[in-house]
Parts: sequence; structure tokens; C-alpha cells
Amino acid sequence: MRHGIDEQSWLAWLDGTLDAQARSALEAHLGICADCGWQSRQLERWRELLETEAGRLRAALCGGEEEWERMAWRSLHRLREAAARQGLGRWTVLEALSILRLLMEPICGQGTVRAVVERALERSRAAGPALTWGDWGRFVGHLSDAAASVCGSAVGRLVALAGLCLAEEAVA
Amino acid sequence: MPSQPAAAGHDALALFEDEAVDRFLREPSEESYGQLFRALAPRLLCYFRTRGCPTELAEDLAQEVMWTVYQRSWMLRRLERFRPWLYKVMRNVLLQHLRRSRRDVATVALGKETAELPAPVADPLAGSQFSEWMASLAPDEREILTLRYVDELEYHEIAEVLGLPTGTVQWKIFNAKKKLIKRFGNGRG
Repeated sequence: MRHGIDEQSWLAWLDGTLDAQARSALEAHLGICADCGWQSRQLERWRELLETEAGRLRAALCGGEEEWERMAWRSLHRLREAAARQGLGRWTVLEALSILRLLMEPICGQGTVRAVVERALERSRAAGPALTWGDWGRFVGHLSDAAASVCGSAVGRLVALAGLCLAEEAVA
Repeated sequence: MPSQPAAAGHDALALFEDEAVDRFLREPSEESYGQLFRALAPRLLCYFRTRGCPTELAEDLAQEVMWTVYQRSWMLRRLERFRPWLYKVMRNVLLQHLRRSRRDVATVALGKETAELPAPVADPLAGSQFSEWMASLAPDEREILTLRYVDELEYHEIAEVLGLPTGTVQWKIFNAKKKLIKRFGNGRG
């Protein structure tokens, strides 16, 4: 607290979120108090300085299009390699789906699981009738939503985490 | 293939990023992932380089982050949650890297997690006024100001990344600026 102005009011004023009455009072005070007026000008000046210098730093460090392109290519290459390895993994996508069903059935019941899986499958397959590892993330997302709406959010979270683990373990 | 808007301002870049994120979250595919990578690469590189990582390491850590994004982003449904989540991933990847490297140097004492973040050291930072200012602050203040001004996160996003209340973030930024005023006066001292 300084001259009756607490730090919360300073913060709100600097953010432009101080209510009109308090703002008028604070600005009136800034007009007559040399100390507070100086502090407000310094804070504003430092906001500008920080923005300017941070902008320079950002421009110097963010790389260029050639670098971004090379990195994107490297990452896509890694994804393709992982996708190729998934075919040779511990289980196929259908086996992963069976594991997920087995996990859910004691909690949600067979009929419910069949229904939510069917619904999630319909919404997830990008092309063709078969579920692929490429569809897996989307499928688990839809299944998690459906399970959460029918059986509660805890089951939704369980399905999401189990789905993630199954995909990660498939290439382990 | 869409590329970064030429000589784009901050708003145009943010829009370009948002569009790429939105598209990837709605239709994850190699193409949308490639576009997302190109949109986020400047942010990723800048994050790691600002925190003292040399170019090659920054690239490797950026790859780790994007691998996590590819594998886990389907758990996110809302575009507005993406940026804080991305920064949490980046922060975790950096902290994991620091822990791994420190395991090889047993004599280095581990401090609080935030204190593990190194002061900016890499070459492009050497002559930077921003780095000089940050070096005069405590590690947690340095991290918050860097997230605010270099990474351009909103207060609520910084709060989410660091697990702090938004008011605490505002208060720390305010106090850090007061320290800078005291130490450097009008910024040329």
C-alpha cells in the first residue's frame, strides 16, 4: 500500500481492468503525486522496453523457413518409421480394441460397451471399413467421450489413458 | 504447402498457428501435422534457444515436443487449451533433458525445478539486452517474464503452464518490473 493505492489496484490499472471509478481516482492521484506518476511512467516504459527487446530476441532465435521445413521433414520421417514399426508391434489394432473392450465390460456392461464402441468406430474411420492405427487416436477420443457420457467421467478418463498406453506399448 | 505469412505481424502469425492447430485437431493426418509443425517450429525453437539450448539441442527437443503433440493432442478437444498445454509439454521436455544431463554430473546440486532453468547463455543471446535484464532477476521471475514477453502468453496461460493462480502471475510480473526499474532505471543503466 502506497499513498492509499494497493498493489492490486496498480495491477488492475496496468491491465486496464480497474473499474471506472477507481481508475479515475487513481489517475487523478497520478496527476498530482510526483512519486506515483514517476512509477506509473516507469512501469509503462518498461512494458514497452520488454516488448521491444523480447521481439528482437524472438526474431533472432526462431530460425528460418528452411530450418522449419527440414525439421518438419525429419519429424514426418520419424512418424512414418513408427507407423511401420507398429505393424510389427506387440498387438494389432484389433487386439488393442479387444483389450479396451475387456477393460470396459466389467464396469459398463457388455451391451453398453458394444454400443459405444460401434458409435465411436462409425465416427472415427477415415476411410474403409477397417480400423487402423492411423484412426486409433480419434477412435479412443470418441470412445472416451461416449463412455464418459454413459458411464461417467472417470470411465471416460480411464478409456483415454488405456487407449494411449495401448498405442504406445504397441511400438515398445 | 502453406508457409509462414511473409513479414507477418504477431496477429497474423497467431492466426496462422490457430488455423494449423484447429485443422490438426479436427483432421489429424500427415498433411495437417506437417502444416502444424511448420506453424509451431518458430515458437518451439525460440522457446528452447531462449532458455540456453544450442541450435542442435533446441531442434532435438522441439522434435520430442512435436512427437508428444502427435501422440497426445487427440486428448485435447478445445483450441484455446492447446497453447498452455504445448508450453507445459515444452517445459517438461526441457526439465527432463536437464535432469538427464545432470545425472551425468553428480556434483551439481539439484535445486527447485524452476531454479533448474538455466540463465540464457547461447551465442545469439550474448549481446541481448533482454538477457542482461533477465540475468538480474530470480529464476521464477525470469521464467514468467520470458513466457510473457518472448513467448507472448496471456496471464491466464502462464498461470496454467506454471500451475499458479493468475493473480500471482500478475503480481510477480509487477514486482519483477519494479526490480528492473530499481536496478536499471530507465533501461539504459
